[in-house]
Amino acid sequence: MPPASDPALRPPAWRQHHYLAIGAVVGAIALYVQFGQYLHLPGLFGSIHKQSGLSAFNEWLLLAGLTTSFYLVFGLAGRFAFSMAAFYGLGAYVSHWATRTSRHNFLVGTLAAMVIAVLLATAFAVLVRKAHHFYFAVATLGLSEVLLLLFQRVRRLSGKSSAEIGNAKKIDLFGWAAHTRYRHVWVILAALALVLVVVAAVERSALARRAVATRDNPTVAETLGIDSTRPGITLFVLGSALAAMFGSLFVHTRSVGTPETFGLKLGIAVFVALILGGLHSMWGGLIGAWFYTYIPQYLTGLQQWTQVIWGAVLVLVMIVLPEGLVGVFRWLRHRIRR
Amino acid sequence: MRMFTMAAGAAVLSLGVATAAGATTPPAGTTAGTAAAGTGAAAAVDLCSAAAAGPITIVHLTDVKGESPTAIDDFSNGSALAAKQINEQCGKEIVKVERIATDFSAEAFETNVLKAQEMKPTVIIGQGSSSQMSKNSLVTDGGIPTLWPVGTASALKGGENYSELSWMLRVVNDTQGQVWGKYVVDAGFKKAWMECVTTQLGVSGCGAAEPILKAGGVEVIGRSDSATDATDFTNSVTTIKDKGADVVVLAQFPRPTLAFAKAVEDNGLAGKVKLIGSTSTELIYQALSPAAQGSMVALADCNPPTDAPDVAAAYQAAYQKGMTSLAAVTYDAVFMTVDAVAREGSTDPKKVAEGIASTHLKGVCQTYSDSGSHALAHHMVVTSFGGGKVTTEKSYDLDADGKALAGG
Amino acid sequence: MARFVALFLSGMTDGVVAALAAVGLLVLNKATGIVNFAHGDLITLGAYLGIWLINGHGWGYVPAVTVSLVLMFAVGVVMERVSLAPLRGKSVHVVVIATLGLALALRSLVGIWQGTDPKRLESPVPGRSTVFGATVTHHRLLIIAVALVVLVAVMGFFARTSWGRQVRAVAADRVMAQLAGVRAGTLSMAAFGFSAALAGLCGLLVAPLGAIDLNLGFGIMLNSFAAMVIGGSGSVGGVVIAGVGIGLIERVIGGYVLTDYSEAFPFVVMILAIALRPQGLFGQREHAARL
Repeated sequence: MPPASDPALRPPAWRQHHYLAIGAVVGAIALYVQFGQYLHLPGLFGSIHKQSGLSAFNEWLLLAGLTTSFYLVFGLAGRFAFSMAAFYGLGAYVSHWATRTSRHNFLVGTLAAMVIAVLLATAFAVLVRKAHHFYFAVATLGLSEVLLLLFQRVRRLSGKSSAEIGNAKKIDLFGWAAHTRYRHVWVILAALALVLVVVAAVERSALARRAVATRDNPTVAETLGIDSTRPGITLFVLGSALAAMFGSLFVHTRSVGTPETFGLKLGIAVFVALILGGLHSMWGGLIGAWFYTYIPQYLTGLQQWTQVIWGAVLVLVMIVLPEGLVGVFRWLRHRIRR
Repeated sequence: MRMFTMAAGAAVLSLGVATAAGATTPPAGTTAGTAAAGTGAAAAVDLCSAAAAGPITIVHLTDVKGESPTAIDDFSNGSALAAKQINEQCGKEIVKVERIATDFSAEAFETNVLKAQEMKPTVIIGQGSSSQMSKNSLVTDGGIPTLWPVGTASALKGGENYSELSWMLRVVNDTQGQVWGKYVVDAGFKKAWMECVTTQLGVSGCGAAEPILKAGGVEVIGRSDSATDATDFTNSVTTIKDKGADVVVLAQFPRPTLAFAKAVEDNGLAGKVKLIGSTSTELIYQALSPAAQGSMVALADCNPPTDAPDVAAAYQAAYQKGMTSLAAVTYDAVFMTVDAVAREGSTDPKKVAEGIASTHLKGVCQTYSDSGSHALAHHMVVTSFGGGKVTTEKSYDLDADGKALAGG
Repeated sequence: MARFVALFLSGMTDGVVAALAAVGLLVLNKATGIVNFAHGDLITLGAYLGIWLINGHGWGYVPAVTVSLVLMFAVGVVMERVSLAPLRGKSVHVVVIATLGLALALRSLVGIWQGTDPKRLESPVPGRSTVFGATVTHHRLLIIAVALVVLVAVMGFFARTSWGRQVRAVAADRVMAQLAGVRAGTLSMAAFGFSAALAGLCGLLVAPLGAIDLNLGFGIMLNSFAAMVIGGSGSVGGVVIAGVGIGLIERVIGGYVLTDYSEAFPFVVMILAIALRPQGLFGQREHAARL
């Protein structure tokens, strides 16, 4: 790491070398999956040599992808949306609908899901473009509730008499059959890497600068000639489309889904994961999703006290690390430099 | 024929010798050919002999306490009591029930089912939520026989959620709908309102009641499909009042059931309109006013205090509350497992699965058997709640496939 | 006509309850900038306190309600002290997570304390009358009356008392208000207590309508978000009109057309309202000074 002439002026190394960092993190995860399989490594990610461990690991990766998509919307554009889970569900339902009776590959389903998500997110974001903060958040809450009701009642989506998705098409990629949990890891990890690259590219773009300027001081941004609504809309649409992509992956890896899966509980989980991880870092989603997936598993032995303790843990983390768990890494780096 | 029976009026548990005695006069309907696959002819199997086949472990996926409004303790109490009684009777631990706490939501459920399978138990008792039936492909892959304390038609043979290793311990939803219809006709009601519920698994068995009502000459004055979290039933109750319904098929549960009954009472209809609640209403009826309790009956798989007073008394003593049909089915599931191991003389999953398929167990709830559809339950009751206790009003037998009323 | 009266009354009841919950949220939001996601569970707690005192200890309604409200005030203050005071000055998102954590903990604690089986609370005014052929339970009238009296009192309180002026001052400009001597800590505690007491009142009022379980407050909270936003979080009056409007739309219109989709009505209306008036129908731009 080259010594920075003025640390205050230069962005930190990990930010300068975004893509390298993404390669390193994704590579580390891949190595862990590859060798954890054989070495029976215990540790922070459960026992991934077992199917149950792989299942939880995939759950983490999916939530990490969804939360990182949310980082675009909330972290960069400062727009809090409850609707991430609903777009995730939209992805699942649309992709299932597009593939269930046809010979279409899951990629076609994913594409269809993303296109529909883009259209819906754009229409919605334009409709409520003037709304800010709590108003925008509550509007997205309304959107989620309406979407959930549609998943529940529009039977054409699930293709049967109930709203439950069953036997969704398995993933086949150009002759490679990703039908096992172990192979699902690679598919989801690839999608996660893609999202991280998108986020890194956005962070380096003028779009992010305009979005952040608007987020932090809309009045000044407007004075400088920045259109105060466009960056927010763009990032909302982008984040929602990526959420739909992960929703599609969810349904084709798990093969099942119900409207409840995509409800407010998940919408709040995405929010909690991002804040826990760190709102102001593109890695926040990854870390927060890990915490959200694995910590409650250690608590279930507490029976009826599980939720009480989990609630207390959330409050405590916020008091100790208001910047999120990413703060631990920052603190460590700071210590190492000294 | 090998069988295990629980003779009412005998000791708390009719194990060993008592069982053999009871078995000399098998109850009617125990002629299923599959059970003849065993070696002994008419000798009942000694459950304690299951010990010879090795330790029996059952993993019970139990709801995390405090997650759901109801039914949390009942399922886990039932299996715990059964294991305790069997071990005490046999004088050693021959069956062990392990628990995995599972969230009521579906997200983490896959992980939990896999964890259960990785513990390599003899049998898994699933969680009492129908929405988990779609995970039955996991059961097939995992290779461990799984007993579900639910009834979901899609998990029966031919259904899209079918697994050859999964069995339904309770009456399936569409059949419940038929029982609803039959009871309304039998009880002589004339005008019915259908208060159905849209769950993620579709409209509950409600729909299956309608043709039976019409065939029986009952006029269906209207129907509403409310959400699982509906709180206000003014619209339905106003219609009921206007058109003079005398009975309501009330498929909701749990808080909406109570809100509906309250709305009926508030509109001065208590005593004029009979409400026929869904299964599990037995868990919540105490939150109804005495008047509302009086105008309510409900479906249930069984009524343990009447069907098996000794077991119900032991349950009451152990947990200071009445035994519900939900507790009874998981209680029975443990017996069914031990019985299957004893008959097959093995804890090998394949053998145990054969044992369950050929089961002919007279449990607390009913006599379980599988004609091939993987429905184990063939009996339902309608209960009333007058005087703060659950009373059996009428019982219905279902056909061998567990898919329809016998002869109707 | 009978149907209309019945639906109207049920819409009114739902509406004033949502408004009452929304005003509790609003007061807290104005005084501290926080959106409290534990509000729904405070509503639930209020109902359970009533059950505990009335059913469990045989208390009369008036002392039970009084004591419940005092306890709710105390719970609000304690919540503020243990979890939110340490977060003062931190980003609002961090505080929202803390309120979510509190909500989870509170709900489970109530479950451990009172059990998860649904409960029942009798109304203090059990009678009913017939108006235009519709049955009108006296409890619904009581809810509407109490809620309206409380809402008017809250409006008066904020318009006329020094505490109300302080809240308005903080809402208008936090930094200036503190420079002018408003004690933010005390104000925050008082606002939490007051908001929790309003939530508790909400729970006590709705409990006799149906049955009480741990999910009682959550749905009311969602409706109150809608009321707060449509009303424009600037004015108590706007929130009341919005709350009642939502209730009437869901029940009355939903009672005649698209009945099976009526739950979506409030949300569709809300999205349209936000689209047309991003500051709420009755709100003013950004720093609404009125409360």
